[in-house]
Amino acid sequence: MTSFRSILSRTLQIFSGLKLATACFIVLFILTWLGTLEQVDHGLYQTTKKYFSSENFLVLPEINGKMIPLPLPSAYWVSVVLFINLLIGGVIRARKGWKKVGVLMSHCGMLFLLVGGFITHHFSERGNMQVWEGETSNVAKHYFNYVIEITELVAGEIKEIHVIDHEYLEVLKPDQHQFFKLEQLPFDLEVAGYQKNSVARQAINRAPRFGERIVDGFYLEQEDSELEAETNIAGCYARLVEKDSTKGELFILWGGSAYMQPKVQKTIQHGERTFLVDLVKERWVLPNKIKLNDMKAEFYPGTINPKTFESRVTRTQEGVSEDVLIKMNQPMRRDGFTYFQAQWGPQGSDGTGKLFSVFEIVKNPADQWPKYALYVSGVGLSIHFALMLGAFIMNQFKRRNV
Amino acid sequence: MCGSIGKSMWRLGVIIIGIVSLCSCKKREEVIAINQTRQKSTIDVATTTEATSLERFRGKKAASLQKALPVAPPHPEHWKPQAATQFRLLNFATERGVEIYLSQVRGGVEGNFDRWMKQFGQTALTPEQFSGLPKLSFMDHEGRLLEVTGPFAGGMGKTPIKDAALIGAGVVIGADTWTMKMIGPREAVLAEKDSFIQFVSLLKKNS
Repeated sequence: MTSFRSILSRTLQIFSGLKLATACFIVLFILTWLGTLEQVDHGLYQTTKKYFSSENFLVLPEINGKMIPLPLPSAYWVSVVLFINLLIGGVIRARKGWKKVGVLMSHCGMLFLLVGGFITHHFSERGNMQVWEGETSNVAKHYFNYVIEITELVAGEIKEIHVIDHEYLEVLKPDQHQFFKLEQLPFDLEVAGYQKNSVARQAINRAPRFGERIVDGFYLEQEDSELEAETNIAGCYARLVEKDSTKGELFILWGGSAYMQPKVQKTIQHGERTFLVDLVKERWVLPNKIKLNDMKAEFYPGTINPKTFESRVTRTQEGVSEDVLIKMNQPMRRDGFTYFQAQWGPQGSDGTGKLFSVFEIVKNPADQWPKYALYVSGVGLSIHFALMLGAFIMNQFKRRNV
Repeated sequence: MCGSIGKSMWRLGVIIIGIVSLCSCKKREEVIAINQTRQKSTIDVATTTEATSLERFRGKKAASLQKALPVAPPHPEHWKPQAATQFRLLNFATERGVEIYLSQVRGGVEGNFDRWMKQFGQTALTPEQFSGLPKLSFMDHEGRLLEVTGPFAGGMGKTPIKDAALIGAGVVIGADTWTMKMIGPREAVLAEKDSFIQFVSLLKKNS
């Protein structure tokens, strides 16, 4: 019993200590520095995922393509430890009193910042919406996640859209098969050879090098992940499976098809019924519609490098419309969604002719929390400094009077 | 006493790491039932015709053009073939960051050359300058060759290059304008100039 208490007391002592807080800050600094170096070779997405996500417990850094045999805890878990440390040491076990109110506030601000980071990591969603001038959109596409969408075509109209989520696809290795039971459809789907980044090659142009399977003159060639992971194009082989387990013909689904104009989709005839199957970036339908009225870009003289660009949009929700100007660094925040002006096009345009705007859409319950956390910490530190200064002046005053 | 606490702490650490490792192992299910659906959006417009693999992976325009695609001569070994797209009917890249591709475009040869000049921060060609450009055989027709160097401004999806070069050929055949373009870091592009001109000159129109 005494031993258990000693362990508990020792654990509390370690977890609430300033040494642990210092160690956490140093490790976070090292991770950020190593991550910044590594993202040059591996891109921002892969590196952020490696160093900062909860998926990895330990990280082996790489510099110039060489692995450093120094396992470091990932920033997520260091932040968890730092949170516990701040909570126990800075709030629960800290001395209380009006003199400590500033320090307590700044600790709370930092805890708030870490909670904000946790919520952003687990609950935020990011996507982008591309709208041409004069057109309307209510959908955001995810930057990275690919899903399979299956829908029935009835009299030229799309019916309910069935979605095989990215979490089932991205865990698949190229040599694995996965059977998806589509409960609301008259067939099931088998997916194989899923690749996170691939090229649909025409066998007539280049024969498969690694024995890839050719289907209808094409095969999928695996590519290394791009530095800008949002440009990865997923691909897979798929086949219909009847409810009596009869297997249909193999076909290729490739994410690049989504960029073809006019739009092209894999069509499947099932008896009298027609279905469309697509491998596309995950889409989420927004609660409002955005119509792009005007897109303006200002350029640096003599170049096609934009100095600034802005979009005049009409946002419509439940029959109510409002005109909003979205600019670089001046996003629109509505209903928990933030619309940032991200890009514009088409490529090579000098700003004349019909243009499109790309908005980055972020759904983050903790969107403004870092700002509020900094306010709380800032006010807390200001109070603490003011109290310290007051105490110092009082002491000086007393000394002189003595 | 201290030693025993140290040992216990060590054990506690091992147990925590063990639990974390076990939690991260997830077995893949053999059959996954799918019930997820999503609402229809403004971009969910159905295609009316059945698309072939060629149309799905190259686009309808490229698929129809493929029949009329020029017969390409053997390309230099270090030109690595890239996936063709609807805008890049033949597509190569080199390890030194040079992109080489054939396109069927709109706007005539002069219009496209002007656009390329602008991307390098230069003014459009005057009719005299255009007619003074070197000529070359391009798909059995007389084409023009443009060479521009300087800072490439980049654009949507393209990284700016401080010291870049572009060598491009253009030809009008009937109602179609064809261009073959090579762009990248100046030294790397200029090193490919002879190979590029030879490749373009040997492109034959598909009979």
